[in-house]
Amino acid sequence: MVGTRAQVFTLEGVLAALIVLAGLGFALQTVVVTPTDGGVSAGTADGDRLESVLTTATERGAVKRAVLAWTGSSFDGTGAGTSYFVDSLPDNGFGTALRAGLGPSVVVNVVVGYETASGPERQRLAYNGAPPEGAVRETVTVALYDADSVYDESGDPVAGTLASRPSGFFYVDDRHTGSASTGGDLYAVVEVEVVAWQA
Amino acid sequence: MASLTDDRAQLLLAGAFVLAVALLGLTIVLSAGNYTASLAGDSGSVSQGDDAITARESVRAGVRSYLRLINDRSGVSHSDREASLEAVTRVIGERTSEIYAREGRVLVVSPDSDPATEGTRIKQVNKDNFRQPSERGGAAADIDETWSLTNGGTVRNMTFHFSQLPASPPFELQFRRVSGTGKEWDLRVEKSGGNWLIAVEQVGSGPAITLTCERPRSSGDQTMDVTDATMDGTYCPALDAIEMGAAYDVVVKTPGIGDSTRDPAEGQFWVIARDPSAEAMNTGDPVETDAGLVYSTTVPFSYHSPAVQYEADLRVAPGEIE
Repeated sequence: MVGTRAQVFTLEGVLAALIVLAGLGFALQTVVVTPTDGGVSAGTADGDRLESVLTTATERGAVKRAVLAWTGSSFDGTGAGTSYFVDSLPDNGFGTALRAGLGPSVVVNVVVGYETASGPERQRLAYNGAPPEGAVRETVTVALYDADSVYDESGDPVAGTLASRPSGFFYVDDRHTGSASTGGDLYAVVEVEVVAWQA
Repeated sequence: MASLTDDRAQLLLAGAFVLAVALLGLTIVLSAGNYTASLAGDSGSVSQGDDAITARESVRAGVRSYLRLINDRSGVSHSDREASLEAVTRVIGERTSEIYAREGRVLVVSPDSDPATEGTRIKQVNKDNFRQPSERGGAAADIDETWSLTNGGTVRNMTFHFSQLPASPPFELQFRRVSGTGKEWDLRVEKSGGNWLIAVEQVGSGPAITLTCERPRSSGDQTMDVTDATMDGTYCPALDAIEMGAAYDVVVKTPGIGDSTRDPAEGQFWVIARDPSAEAMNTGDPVETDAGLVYSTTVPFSYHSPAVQYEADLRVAPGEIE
């Protein structure tokens, strides 16, 4: 009689423990959500808007023209002594899209990534400071062709194509030589990375 | 007495077990609900699908650029253009996949083995009038004012570069349905005081509507881009009314030739027509045709991230709604 009762108490204890554990599990799930809501820092830019701006600028060729606005040693329109825009953005379609699309309170860095024979390299297009933690980062790819023009800062073509320029003129090397049927018309596929954050 | 205690204990046991299972189930359901809410409210572009759209447009823009480039070349067969397009699309896909793989996203761009629709460019590169080439040297009284520029099929990049435009009667483009019913259009261009008057009249099924727009008449040549709906680079809403995606017989009407009191329309033009429409055109010197162009292509595209699975066939046809 006493032994049976003790077994019942044991079972009740186990069940009570299970209930407590279930309650704890529920509470922990709630705690997991809390940091997600509270963890959004004030310095985060709108990633959706940046993505939208980048998509539109890519569709319209503005990103490509900005990537190709190269003078041989720097992006056209940059100040003396630097090959990229510092504390500013280019005065072309891409720069205008970033400024107008993201607003004056958002700071933007733009970097062009490309492949070389010795591995990946990066060329800054615009540098406006070190991004804080939580900065938004988006990427688009741009296909460059041998027959593509080089552009000036405002987005107007300059005489000559990538293929007609001397070797070493452009910061990206021709990665696809050969016949047209093997993709030889392609010059390179570069990655344009934009990092944005609230000032 | 002992039996009653045992029964109560068993009932308590069963009740507690049911309660425990119910609470655990509730926890799981609420957890899933919380996860769903977090995902829906996440501003991250990867989970929202924006990243997939950007990747898609990157690929489309790259292929679109190349399609324009290979179509600019003369004397290249359609199969050679197709082979080049396939090779370039493959390389763009591989490189883009590498870049997105670094972010944990799988992107597959696999060009079709038969990816391209054939097209033909019709162009008049030397300034002349716009009558049927075989009748341009005839006497004014003998010749037909109209010329069937295309014989069905869709067209794009339709651009007229005028070195001379008439005051009256106007230069006219007629867009006639190949088959079935639907809207048809007459497009007229003429001088009107100090302006160019562009009038588009709907003449097919539906209510009769005439839309107009006037643009300042600058000196020098004028360019009318029918596909982009612009006159000398300025948007003309009347031109935008023409549904360029439909298949038409495009008829050019150039009145006033041989009449010394009038200035018949003269200039250059170019247009890309989708086969088989280009086959039956009345062309010849000075109107040239470049056959074997790539009118459009389709690129299968897929994107996979932990939150988004996206697959689409990208249609690339520069100048059209894609």
